[in-house]
Amino acid sequence: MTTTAPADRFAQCDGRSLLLEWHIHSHIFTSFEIDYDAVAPLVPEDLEVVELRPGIAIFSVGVLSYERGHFYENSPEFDELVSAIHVAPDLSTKMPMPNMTFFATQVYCNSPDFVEQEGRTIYTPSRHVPSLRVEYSDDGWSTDVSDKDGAIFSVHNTHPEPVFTDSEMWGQHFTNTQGLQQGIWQWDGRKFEHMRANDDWKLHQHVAFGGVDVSAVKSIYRQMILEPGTRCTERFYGMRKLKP
Amino acid sequence: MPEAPSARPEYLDYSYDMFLSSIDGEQSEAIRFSDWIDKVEADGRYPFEAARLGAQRPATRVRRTDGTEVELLNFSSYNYLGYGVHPEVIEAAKQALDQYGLGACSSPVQAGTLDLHSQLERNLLDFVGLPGRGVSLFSSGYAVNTGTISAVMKRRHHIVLDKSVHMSILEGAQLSRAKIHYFEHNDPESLRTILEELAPSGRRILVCTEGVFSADGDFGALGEIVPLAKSYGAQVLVDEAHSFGVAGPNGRGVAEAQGVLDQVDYLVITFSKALGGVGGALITTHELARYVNWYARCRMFSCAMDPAVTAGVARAVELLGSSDGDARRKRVLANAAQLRESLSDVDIGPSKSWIVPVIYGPEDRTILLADYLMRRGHEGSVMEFPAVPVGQARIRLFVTSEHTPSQIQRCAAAMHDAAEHFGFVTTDRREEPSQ
Repeated sequence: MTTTAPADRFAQCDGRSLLLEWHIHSHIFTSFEIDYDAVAPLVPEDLEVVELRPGIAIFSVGVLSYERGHFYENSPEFDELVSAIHVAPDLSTKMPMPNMTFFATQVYCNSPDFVEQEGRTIYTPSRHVPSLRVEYSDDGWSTDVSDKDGAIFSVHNTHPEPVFTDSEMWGQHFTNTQGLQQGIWQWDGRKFEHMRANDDWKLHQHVAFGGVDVSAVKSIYRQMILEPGTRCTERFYGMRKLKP
Repeated sequence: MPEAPSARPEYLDYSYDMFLSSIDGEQSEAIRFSDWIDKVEADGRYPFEAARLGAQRPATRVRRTDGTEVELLNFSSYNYLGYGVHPEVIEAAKQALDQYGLGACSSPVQAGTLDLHSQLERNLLDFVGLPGRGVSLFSSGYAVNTGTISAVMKRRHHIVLDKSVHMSILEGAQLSRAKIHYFEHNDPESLRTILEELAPSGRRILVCTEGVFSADGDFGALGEIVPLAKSYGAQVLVDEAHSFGVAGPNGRGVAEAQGVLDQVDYLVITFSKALGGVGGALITTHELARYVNWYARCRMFSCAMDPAVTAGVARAVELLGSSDGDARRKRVLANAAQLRESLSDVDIGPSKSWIVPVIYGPEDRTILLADYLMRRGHEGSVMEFPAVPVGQARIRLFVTSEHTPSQIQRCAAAMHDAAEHFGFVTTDRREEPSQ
């Protein structure tokens, strides 16, 4: 699907209002295979961790860099690092079929405005980390993420023949900072996804992953990269409380 | 709910994994999956579950779920050696039906064992050339793996799986509650790393792999993996579902072809592929076969193989070991080579066997492509994420000894036409097939 729709197509979903619309100029999203037992205890019992194969769950780390001007005129660009465990959706929600559903374990961001807004509106476990530093390679295919405590994460794409296509994805996310809550997200942009084996990555033990023991990570499962030089849009809708 | 702006149907973007589960109490995954089928059917594009109106021959007629009937060139069913329609096999089945009736009517360890089952066991041992072994028959090939693995492996044990093994092996491992480990597909060094770590524990280790992997049609590296596993004291299970009867100088499978047949602890075969029937068997030591007969729960607590299929399969195994089997093996190998060679401008991955995948890429082509081919009289077996990596959806072509050279040419031409129509022509060439 392309994004030539009228803007109001995204005004509501499942009767919930559009709360946030972000414009992002760099986005590398990497999913890893991880021991199920390493992540299941971190997820509320009302949710269901996706089991890729018996004993194997999916842990994803997304690096996003946002355009200028989101909060006020010429407000600065900023970066986000989100760590999430893949869980099953609630398919009774009236929305396009979710491509992916997450339970975020931690969100790091170097913008206090972003952290305040996300925490207030969609209840993500966001933390303001002024020292968060995200560096991309010149070709936009690699990123190194660190903060004042040291390296957090680095990943490189090794697929030699990327083919970018216009894409629209829908998904759900759950948070548990103010009771168990379910939200809806939507993403559109030009992306490339692949599942080619890739040993060129490093996850360091770090609180940025929200308690996930990254020594339990086995391998890269899937990578998604926004076409360098383009921008994507990410939208979030109102939350639904499932449990106090 | 936001509507997509274009006329392009949303259902094209939905893949199998999206309907796997829902946390709500209303079974919404089933409701939405059924709705997905309704929408594809309403557009007249649903290519799945088309009913065969005759036997699984290279040319067959099907009735689609919308009621339309199509003459098909069939590259989507197994029956690799054509025994499913062999006159002597059919005759043996008919005679068994007359003599024994419709079903076995009991568990095999109770009243369900017929002398036909004993005959089939003897035929299998004669064919594989392992007379000292035992056989455990199952009503499905899937059940051989789930039943065997869960019977012989327990919570304190280790199971090491090739990442690409069949779902039945995964489920067997899960049922066993043993600790599951995965090695990279067909990678002995990856396996070695895991075994180095596990072997000192002294606990039972089972390594599972396959003769031919059905997603890519590539051969298991059994010649390396089996001796490596044995060197660490592990037992080895090899699923020869797609290779029994076809691979190897005598058709005993890839383990025979690579010289390790007698080292395999659990040889798993199915009757639905080369033999054109249904059911499967475990060939192992006499003691383990006895144990599995009693402790494989899906065998113990289900009915034995039915008489007609048992007799037909028993006759097919006899033919497999005769000059008839040799001739059919030669034909299927030649046919597969012809098809692979003819598919010169599409990506067939690493296939070196009679399973030839044509990789068409994005999953959103699946419905349109399958429908396009079927309406032009062609059918393969589609497979997409999560069964194969994202962006590598494919249509698998199953070659049999009964396809004619002209049918293979027609199939290849249809794939070329589809590749041009959907834009997946490639100029990349693969290494030359062997084995």
